[in-house]
Amino acid sequence: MAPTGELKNQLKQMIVERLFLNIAPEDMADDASLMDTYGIDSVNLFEIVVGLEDEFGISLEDEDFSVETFATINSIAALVDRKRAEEQ
Amino acid sequence: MNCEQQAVRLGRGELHGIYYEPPPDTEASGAAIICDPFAEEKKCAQRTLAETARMLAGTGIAALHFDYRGTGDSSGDFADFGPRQWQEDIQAAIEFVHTQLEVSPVGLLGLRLGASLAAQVAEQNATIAWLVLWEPIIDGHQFVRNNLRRSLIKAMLTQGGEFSAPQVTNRHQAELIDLDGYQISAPTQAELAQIDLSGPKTFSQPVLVVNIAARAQVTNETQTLTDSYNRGQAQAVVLEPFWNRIGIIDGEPLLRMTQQWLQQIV
Repeated sequence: MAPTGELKNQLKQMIVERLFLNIAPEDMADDASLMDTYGIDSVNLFEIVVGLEDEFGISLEDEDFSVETFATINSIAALVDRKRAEEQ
Repeated sequence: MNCEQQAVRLGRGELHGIYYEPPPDTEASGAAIICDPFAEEKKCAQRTLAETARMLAGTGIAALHFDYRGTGDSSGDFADFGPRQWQEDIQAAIEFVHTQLEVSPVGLLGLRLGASLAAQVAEQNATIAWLVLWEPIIDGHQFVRNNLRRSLIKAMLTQGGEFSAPQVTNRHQAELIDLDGYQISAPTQAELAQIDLSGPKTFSQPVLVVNIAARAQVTNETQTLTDSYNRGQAQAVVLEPFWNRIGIIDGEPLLRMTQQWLQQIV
């Protein structure tokens, strides 16, 4: 099942808030590259990882770390969905 | 704020520090020792901590901002020292302020690992008058895990197709770990992992614990830590984690909050 729009909105809210981005969450595109479009770097990605664990109740393992997984809102939402399903 | 600052040597001469003296027309209110965070976080936080020292001096609290052994302009190599020695360094700084500068009372203000070290020193040193803990590391195991995460993410972005998470993890189990260019020994890594501020405390003087994050909300962990002190107070400030940022972050909200709290207790 594809990630819901609500989950993606929550992710955008978390990312904008934690990274102090100067954009509205709803203006983030689901499939835009976080690195190329929003200038997300390794420090920002770390904040996102901590945010995923703190706010989305998932626990990431080594094998979850790949550029593709953290490329876009869509790919991160898919990760959250998958981890939630695994951890149930 | 117009304060005098001078370089000092302390702790048998191996520690370098900057002493910020309040302006002569300011009512003196003792001294603060600023306890640095760990590795790269220290570098990123340097500017804000220097501003903090000037703020303290401007309000009558002399400030000593020093480098632990193996860091900054103090002697030794980073890999040869760890939390236990850095606690000794804080004790040496307290002694220096009391005996050489003849200033008292002395409080400790620490950021991240520095806050954790300050809290641990306060359990052993009855002369400390107050504690300010900015975003302390409460769970050392989590801190070490997050350091591995940073390495994983950095490798992921820089190594492209060569990236292998198990390889990065294995490197973090080596005798000497490279963390963003800082060499950390396995015993230091183990000491860091053992940090646990969750237990009951004997320190009975005022304590301010501050969350610094995107939301003005005290976390459960911070509230629990605060509640473990007889005279603890928890606050939260909305501010970017300046110890993780290379650019300039205006720490004014944090400094103002801390200044207001100190004015109530000193």
